[in-house]
Amino acid sequence: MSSDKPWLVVLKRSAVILSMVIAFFPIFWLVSTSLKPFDEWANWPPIWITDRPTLQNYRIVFFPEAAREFAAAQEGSLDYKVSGSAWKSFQDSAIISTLATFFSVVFGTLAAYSVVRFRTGGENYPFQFLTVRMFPPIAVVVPMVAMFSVLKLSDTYFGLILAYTAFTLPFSIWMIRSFIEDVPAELEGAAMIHGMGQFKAFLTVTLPLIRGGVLSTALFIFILNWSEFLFALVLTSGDVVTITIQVANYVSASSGKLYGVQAAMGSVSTLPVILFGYIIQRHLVRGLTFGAIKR
Amino acid sequence: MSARLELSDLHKRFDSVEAVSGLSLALGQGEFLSLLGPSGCGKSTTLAMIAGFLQPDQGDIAINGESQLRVPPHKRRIGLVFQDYAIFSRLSVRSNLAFGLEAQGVGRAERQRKVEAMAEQLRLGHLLERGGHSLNMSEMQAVALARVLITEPALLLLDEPMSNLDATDRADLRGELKQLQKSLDQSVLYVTHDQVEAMSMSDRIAVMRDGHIQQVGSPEEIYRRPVNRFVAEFIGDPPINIVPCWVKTSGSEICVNTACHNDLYMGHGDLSEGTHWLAIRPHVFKATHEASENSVALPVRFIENFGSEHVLHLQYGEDLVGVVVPPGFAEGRDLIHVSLDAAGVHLIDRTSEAVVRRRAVEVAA
Amino acid sequence: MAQESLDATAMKQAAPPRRRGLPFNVALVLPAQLTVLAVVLCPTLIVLWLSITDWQPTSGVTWYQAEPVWHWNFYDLYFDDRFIGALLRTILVVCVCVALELAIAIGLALLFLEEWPWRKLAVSAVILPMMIVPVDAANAFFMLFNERGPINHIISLVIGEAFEFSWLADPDWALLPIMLAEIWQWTPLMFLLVLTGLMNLPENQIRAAIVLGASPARIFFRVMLPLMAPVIAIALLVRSIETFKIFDPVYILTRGGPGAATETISMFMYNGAFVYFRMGYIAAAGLLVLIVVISICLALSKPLKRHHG
Repeated sequence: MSSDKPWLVVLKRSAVILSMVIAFFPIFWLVSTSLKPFDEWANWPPIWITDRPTLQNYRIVFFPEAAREFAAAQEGSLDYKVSGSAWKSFQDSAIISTLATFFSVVFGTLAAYSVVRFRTGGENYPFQFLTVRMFPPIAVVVPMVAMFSVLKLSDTYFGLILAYTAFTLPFSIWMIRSFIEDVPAELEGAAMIHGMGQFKAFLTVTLPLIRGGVLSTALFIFILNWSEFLFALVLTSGDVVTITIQVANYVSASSGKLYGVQAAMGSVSTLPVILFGYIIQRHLVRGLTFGAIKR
Repeated sequence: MSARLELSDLHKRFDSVEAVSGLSLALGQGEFLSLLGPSGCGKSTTLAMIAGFLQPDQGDIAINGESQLRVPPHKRRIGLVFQDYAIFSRLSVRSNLAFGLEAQGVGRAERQRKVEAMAEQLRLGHLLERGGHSLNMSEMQAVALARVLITEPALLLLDEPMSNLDATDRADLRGELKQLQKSLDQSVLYVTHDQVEAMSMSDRIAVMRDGHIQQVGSPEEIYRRPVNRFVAEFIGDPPINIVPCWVKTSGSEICVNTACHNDLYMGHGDLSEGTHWLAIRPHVFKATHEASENSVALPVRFIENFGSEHVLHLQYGEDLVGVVVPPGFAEGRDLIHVSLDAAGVHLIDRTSEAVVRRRAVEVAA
Repeated sequence: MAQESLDATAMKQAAPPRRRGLPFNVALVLPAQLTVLAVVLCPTLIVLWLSITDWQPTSGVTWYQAEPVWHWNFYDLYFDDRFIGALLRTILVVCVCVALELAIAIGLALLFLEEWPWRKLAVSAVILPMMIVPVDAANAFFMLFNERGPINHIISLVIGEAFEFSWLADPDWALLPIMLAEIWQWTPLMFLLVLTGLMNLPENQIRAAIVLGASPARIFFRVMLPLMAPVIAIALLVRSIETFKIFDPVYILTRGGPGAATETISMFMYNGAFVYFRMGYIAAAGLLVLIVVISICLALSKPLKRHHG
């Protein structure tokens, strides 16, 4: 297998390069479009790399006065949803994602510890959490809207945080569970012989050992929360705006012709996810398979 | 059928470590040759080069006189049994055995016949329909052996095939493997770190250390005439005793004193005066209850019981030496009288660690 | 909120004679369990109720006072071509996307199996798509498949004449960009799974097969693929479930249009509930989908369970 013919090596390398080009192309187009001045957005033939790069689109995204200026120049190009600053969507997404991640990881760690060390609920118990992840969220969304309207949770931070926490719990429980399983119970036993309570033994012995894993789980769940769209779309109506909603607003505004601006918003909003994604690259497989496949 | 193997001046380097350096070795047709050495001595690297998984940096590997360097692994007509047996865990034992024949394009009926025959020969008939993942270690070992033998390899390479078995299985298998090899007249290169396996099965043994061959010879030769301190210490159980000695020369005759025995005449030779080493097998000491002419009384420190024999550990100057005695010999005694004949001891040069003089036991007898 | 009660229980545990209250281990799972119950079980109960009503929020009646219509929602669904169409379309999307993702992933993983310079970096580069916010990925594909976008430009250059086709406005073709976006984004995940599986294969089994004279194809199909079966099963399971839920790219690219040509089950339900406001009807559809998905998952969860030991 190792002694390949030269033409085969060339073929293999070309395939790798092609796959990289395909992987990068949509991102490239997003970034390239975000730097184009207004008159080049819908040029034909399309302009691949602009000669006149500008940060105008980013300014429209972040500064209301730039957006207003633009709207005045291009009459009717911006509707009310996108005339404001996108800062609010970043702020809302950050608050909701961070808090939901915190609750999910804390609740998940406690539950995972209980499941691993006490076999709580028997062998099949952890699987009921997985079912949360299995059915389409849209099926729960209708009754959630009904429930939230009664509880006055619609269009609030708390409503989204609650939804996000519940729907990421399967990941946090199963991921952290797989990390705890890697630490032998004997280590905690040793601490308990010295008179430490069982839970304290977990906190002082096991938790520091799986700190990296828990942190990766947190970043992973933050990514899921930051990227979430459907719940945000259905459970909010203007007071709370997440970045995915903001992106959708730009796409739907002016019948989807706001290319430069939506590209700018897209490029910026995906940055944290790319960053965190590469930080936890090692654990992505474990996360997305609920700990079933470890590296 | 069976093949000759010649390795000449093989070199293989990993980063800064020279795993194999200048290894030359010839394996005759139908010979059982063991490559014996501690872990990390380069024997597995050598094996991987013979199998074709590694390309040597320098040197040649020839089977029946033909260089194999440009031959891919599967065309070398080699059978390889891995240390972990590498049974195809998702296939049945039957499919495992048939795998090599299938790959060679042997027809279904012929395959069937050969698998049955091989299963019978190695008494695997009852395992044939089992899944590869369900076997225990000794079953895996047998299947792995059958899987390569069925392809009638010109050369059989065995990589520590017994290291995963328990002691009784090992003892059984040593006999079976040797018989099988003889009946098939199969050329075998057997890689191991266990000197008992090497001693009990091999026609010849090559002792390896740090990428170099130390000595090649029959088990008898390796045991009786180790060429250096490493070989002397590596072979033999209970292990050989190494004690310091003081050499005087008169003319070319060498006379040796140890901490307890004096005037051992080692014959003629060329060795500097001063401190060197003396290597003495545990049964070369003569232990008696009564004092005799040239015996010394040595205090007993502890006794190892091996059932059919006991090994006394006696204070010998600043060292402890092991002496083999019949069971019960030292019961209730604090002192044992021990005499030592120059015949059967090996004099080892302090600086080169090579055995420089020995007087063979046969001569003394 | 549950934190204080937890600490209290922990202290109780430390004092040997335990008095009353919850066992410690049950208290530990409580926060997670309650959250899930609040967001999953309650809505499921509400769904059961809504599915037998014809609640429409626009009618001004609150949902718990809605008039029951009993089985008629289900009866209507059975004859609703749009619902059946969305269901079948979703199954088609799942089959096409997951199959292609797996095929590409296996091919790609085999390329990355051997050691070559910059391999690690190349892996990181190839998995970039899965690091993108799905809505942004869909946004990018929205621009790529624009009638004045680069895809049409490339096709023009290849065929040598101007090609201005409105992919997303054509009922026959609009599903293609959606599926491509999905495949583009999630093939990297499949690739990582397969690559991890391949790299963890027992090396000696492959070497043994080589020495026994097996061709690369035979080694792949007889030795590697069987060993990979559990990993591939998990990958297929996870991806099928996720793809069945497909919503973001559909919403961004077409909103299910033109007409209902690209409506997947999630999109159908979104449109029904939040565009036409037929909440009761969609609740019934959701219930059906829940039942189907849960029964499929129960049947398929075995490999996941087995692999987890």
